[in-house]
Amino acid sequence: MKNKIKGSKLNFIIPMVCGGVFLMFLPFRFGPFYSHVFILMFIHIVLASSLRILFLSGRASLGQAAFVAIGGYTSGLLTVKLGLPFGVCFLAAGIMAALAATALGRVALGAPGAYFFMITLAFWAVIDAIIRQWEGLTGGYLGFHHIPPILGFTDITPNYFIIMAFTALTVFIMYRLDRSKFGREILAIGDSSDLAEMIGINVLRHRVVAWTIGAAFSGFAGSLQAHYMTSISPMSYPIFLNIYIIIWCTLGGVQKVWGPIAGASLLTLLAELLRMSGVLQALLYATVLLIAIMMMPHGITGLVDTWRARASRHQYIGGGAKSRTRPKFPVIK
Amino acid sequence: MIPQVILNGISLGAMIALMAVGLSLIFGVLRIVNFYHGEAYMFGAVIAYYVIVTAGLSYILAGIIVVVAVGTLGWGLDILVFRRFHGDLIGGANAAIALSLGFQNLMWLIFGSIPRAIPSVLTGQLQLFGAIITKERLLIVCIGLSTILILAWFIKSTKMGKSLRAVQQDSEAALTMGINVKRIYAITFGLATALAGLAGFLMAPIGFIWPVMGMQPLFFSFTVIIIGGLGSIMGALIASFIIGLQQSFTTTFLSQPLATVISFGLALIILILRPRGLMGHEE
Repeated sequence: MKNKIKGSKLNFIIPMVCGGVFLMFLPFRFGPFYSHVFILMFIHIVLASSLRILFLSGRASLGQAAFVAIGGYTSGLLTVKLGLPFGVCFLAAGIMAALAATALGRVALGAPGAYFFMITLAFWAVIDAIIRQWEGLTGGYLGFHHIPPILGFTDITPNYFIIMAFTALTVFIMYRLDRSKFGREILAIGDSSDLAEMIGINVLRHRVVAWTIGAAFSGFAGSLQAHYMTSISPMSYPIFLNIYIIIWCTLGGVQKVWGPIAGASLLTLLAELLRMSGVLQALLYATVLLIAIMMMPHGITGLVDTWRARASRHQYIGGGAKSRTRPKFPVIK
Repeated sequence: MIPQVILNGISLGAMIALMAVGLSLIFGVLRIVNFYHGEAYMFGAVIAYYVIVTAGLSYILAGIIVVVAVGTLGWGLDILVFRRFHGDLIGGANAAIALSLGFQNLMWLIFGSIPRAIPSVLTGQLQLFGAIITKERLLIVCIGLSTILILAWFIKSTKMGKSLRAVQQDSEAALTMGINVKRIYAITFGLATALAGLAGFLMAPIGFIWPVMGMQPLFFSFTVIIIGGLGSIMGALIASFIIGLQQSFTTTFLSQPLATVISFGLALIILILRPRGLMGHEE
C-alpha cells in the first residue's frame, strides 16, 4: 500500500492541478481584462499571506499598506531617478520595507496587541503624510509616472506570468515556513506567549522576525505593483488597503496557509463581480463582508474545520480524539 | 497670538474629547476597536441637517433627535452585530470596519457627495484674554465640556455607572454579582455612539457635512486613546487637550499636514516611553 496515493492527498492534488492549468491558459483564453483582474488577485494574495505569520503569533497589523507604499516608492524611485535595473530595485524594495518593520517592531511589538494594532495604523498615517509632503522626492499628491515595466515587458501576458510565479514562490515559502521549527514556535507563542517564554522562546524576537518577513513580502508586492501599473501616487495606498489586507487575511482564516489565499482571491473576484451593480457595488460589498464576518468568525478555514469535525463525528464515535492538533484562531488581546 | 492659539486648541480638544471618551469607553468595556465611531459622528451631522434644513425644526429638538437616534442605532448594532465579537479584537474591528464602509456608501447614495452646511446658531464674537472666539464656538465648547462632566458624574456616582465600571474590570465577576452584563454592553455602546453623534451635531454648523466627514475625527480620537491609554476615560480627556493644543500650535506655526505627522509621532514616542499610555493600567 506504500505506493498508493492516499484519498486525502488526491483531494488536494486534483484541484491544484486543475487550478494551475486554468491559470496557465487564462491570459490566452480570456484576454487582458481577466489577466488584469488575476494580476491584482495575485498581488492581494501575497499581501494577505504576508500578514498571516504575525497573526499566528498573536499580533495584528493595520498598517500593512505602509510597507506596500515603502516598497513601491523605493523601487519606483530607484529605477526612475538612479536608473537601476528592475532586479536590484525589487530586492531593495523588500529590504527597505523589512528595515522599517524591524525598527518599528522592536519598539512597538512589546506593547499589548490592541496598542500595536493602532500604532501600525498610526505608522501608515505617518508614511502617507511623508509621501504627500515630500514633494521634491515623491511627487506629492500627484505621485510620479513613467516607471519602467517589469523587466521591460509592456505586454500584459509576461507580467501576468512573472507576478504569478512570484505569488507561487511566496505561497511556497509561507508553506515551508509554516512547517519549520520557527513556524511551530510562532504557533506556540500564539497559543500562549507566557508558556512559550517559559520554554525558552524569545517571544519579542520571534514576533519581530515574523513581522519583518511579512513586511518584506509586502514590500516586494508593492514593487511589483508599482512596476506593473507604471505609476504610483498616495492614492495607490489608501487607508482602505490596510483594512482590506486584514479582512482578506482573517476572512480566509489564518489556521491554514491556503486561508489568506482563499480570502484574497474570493473577495477580489467578488468585488469585480459586484462591479456589474454599478453605484451599489461598494454598498453590496460591505454588506456581504459584514455577513461573512458574522457568519465565519474564524474565517473560511475555521468553517471547513467545523465541517470536518462534524463529518468525522458521524463516522466514528468519539472521532474528536483522533483529530490532529491544528493551529487555533489566535485571540489577540 | 498665543492666547488665540491656546483657545483654538482647547475648543478643538473639547470636540475630540467627546469622540475619544466614547471610543475609550467602548474599548474599556467591550474590548472592541470601534471604527464605526466616525460614522456615528457623521450620522449626528447628517440627521441634524435633515431635521434643521429639510424639516425646518429647531436646534434643540434636532439635538434631542440626534442623541436619541444615534444612541438607539448604536444600542441596536451592539445587539445585532457586536454582541458576538466582545473580547475578539480583530473580529470586532473587522465587523466595525465593514459596518462603517457600508454606512458611508449608503450615505453617498442617500446624501450625495456634495458637502452641505447648516446655518449658524449664534452670530457675533467675544473677546477673551485678548483672543477672539465666536459665540457659536464658545457655546459648542461649553455644551461639549458639560456633557463630559455629566458623563463623568454618571460613571462615578450612579448605579448604572458603577455596574459599568464593574463590567470593565471583570465581566465574569460582575455577572456573578447579578449585573446584567449584556444590557450594560448594549447601553455602553449606545451611550458612546450617542456622544459621537452629539459631537457631529455640534460641529455641523461650523464645518461641512458629507459622508466622509467622520474619518478625520476618528483618526484624532485613535491618537488620543493611544496616548491616553486604552479604556481610560481620564487619560482620553487629558490626551484630547494635548492633541488639541498640539494641532492648534503646529497648524499655526508649521503646516496642517505636518500636524498629523506630529500627532502620530507623539503617540509613537509616548508608547515607547509608556507602553500602556499615560493613564492606562496594568492588566
